[in-house]
Amino acid sequence: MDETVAEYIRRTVLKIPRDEIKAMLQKWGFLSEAQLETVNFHQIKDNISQDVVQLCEENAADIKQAAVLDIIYNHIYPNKRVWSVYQMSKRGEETEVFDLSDFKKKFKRRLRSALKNVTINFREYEDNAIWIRIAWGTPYTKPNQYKTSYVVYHSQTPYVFISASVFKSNLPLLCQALVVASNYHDICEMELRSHSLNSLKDIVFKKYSQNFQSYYPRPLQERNVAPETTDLRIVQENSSEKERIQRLTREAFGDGPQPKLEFAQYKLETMFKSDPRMDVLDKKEPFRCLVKFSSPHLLESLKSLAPTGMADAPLSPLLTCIPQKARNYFKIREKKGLLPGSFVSP
Amino acid sequence: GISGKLTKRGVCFCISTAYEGTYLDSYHLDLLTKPEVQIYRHSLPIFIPLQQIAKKYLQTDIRRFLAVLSDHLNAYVGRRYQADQLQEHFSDQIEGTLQRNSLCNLLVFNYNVSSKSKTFPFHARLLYGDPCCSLPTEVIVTCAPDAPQALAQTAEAHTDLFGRMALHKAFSSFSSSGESAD
Repeated sequence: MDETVAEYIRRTVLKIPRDEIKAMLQKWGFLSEAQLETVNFHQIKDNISQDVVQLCEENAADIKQAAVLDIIYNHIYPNKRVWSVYQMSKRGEETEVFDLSDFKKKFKRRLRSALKNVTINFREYEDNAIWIRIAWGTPYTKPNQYKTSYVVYHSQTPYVFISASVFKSNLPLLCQALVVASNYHDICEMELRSHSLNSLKDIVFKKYSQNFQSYYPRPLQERNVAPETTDLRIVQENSSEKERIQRLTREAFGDGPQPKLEFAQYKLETMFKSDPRMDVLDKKEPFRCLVKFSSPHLLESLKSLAPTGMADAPLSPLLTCIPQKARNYFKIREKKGLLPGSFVSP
Repeated sequence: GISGKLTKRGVCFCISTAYEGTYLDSYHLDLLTKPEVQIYRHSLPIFIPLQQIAKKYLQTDIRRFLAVLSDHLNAYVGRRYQADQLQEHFSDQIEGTLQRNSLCNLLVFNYNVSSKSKTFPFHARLLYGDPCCSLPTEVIVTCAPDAPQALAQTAEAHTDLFGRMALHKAFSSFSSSGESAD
């Protein structure tokens, strides 16, 4: 077994939390159950990984097989990477018949025709997600397994989720290969980025909670009107205001959990509006300013702003439009009124 | 079925789907009616060609728009249901996992008629060319060129069978007869 493969497997195993190692190796399926039984998964990770490498040596693992373990790891822990969303467009309107083998063949052929030194792996999952792992080399060097790009694509959709690597220069080639393989015509990057791959999917596939009015009975809302001890001396002073805020919040954000985004960025290119007598800026040019909101869970925190009294309801549509507009990067220019710059129609 | 509820700015429709008696998913479509009919938001799967259908019918004939959309959705869930049933109940007879796609309009798999054998002599490719139909428009079932005559005949019979019967029901029909085509 190649030394670089051994080292790569060793390092990949070290990344996995100790309690998860056995399960992940089982998912990988490269080592037999009998082989896995010989490993003590309670020892320190250094030793576990050495034992695993030893077993892989017995089975003569190659880089392609090692790469599969990496895909499995990234599929279970996708939030360790930053994902961008790209949107493809096509001219024709025929119903697409997506053939997976065809897609893989075309993708590999396109990529390899431009760059021979790449390692390409595919893995399909039950939710129709196709994961592609690409390790990039150069015309003169072998693929660097530590500099990988990941692509997640759901067939017959225009969206591609890409976690690029340091080699940004390979992005155009990757995009081209995707377009060709999926029978689309064009691809462009959306203004939507996050660590949470599933939340990005929720946003573009519109699986976040939207409040649809329908006749279907909804589960009984348990709000704060549980039968409390009715002491008539206690009165809610601003119950109507509270209800108004709750209603507006529900209308803006829906009932369910919000997609998980870490930040929203607003680039302002608007004129500074001040009292003309103060004459703050001599030149009449836009005041450039960047406003960035960050949070471990931005949309949930925005949702709680009005109910906790930290902001007035309704919140600015610039904040509440994020899932619907499928973007968290905005450019605000001077237009008739304050409107987000270019709209991307999902 | 399709139900609708008037909203402040338009109508919200709910399209429920079913396949052969089993209720499946419900989808919502929120429409605005002024200044013209437009889609405000929806919960349809992204691979359903909503924009295409809307471009054709939304402005001129809402009933037709909803009917066509409902046909697409019902056919999709029907195809998906068949593929899921096949995967769930006949996984022993299929080599690996079914190759499918989001719309479930192309299925490719190798299979056998009995679950006892370890080989999968039949190769099937089912193309569902009509997005509003849950039966395939093109079926190809083949076996190895040097396979015995009996196998070739079975392949031919299955080509016909898959074209007119729900996939999981077709499998039920030839699996219970216990032919072991080995």
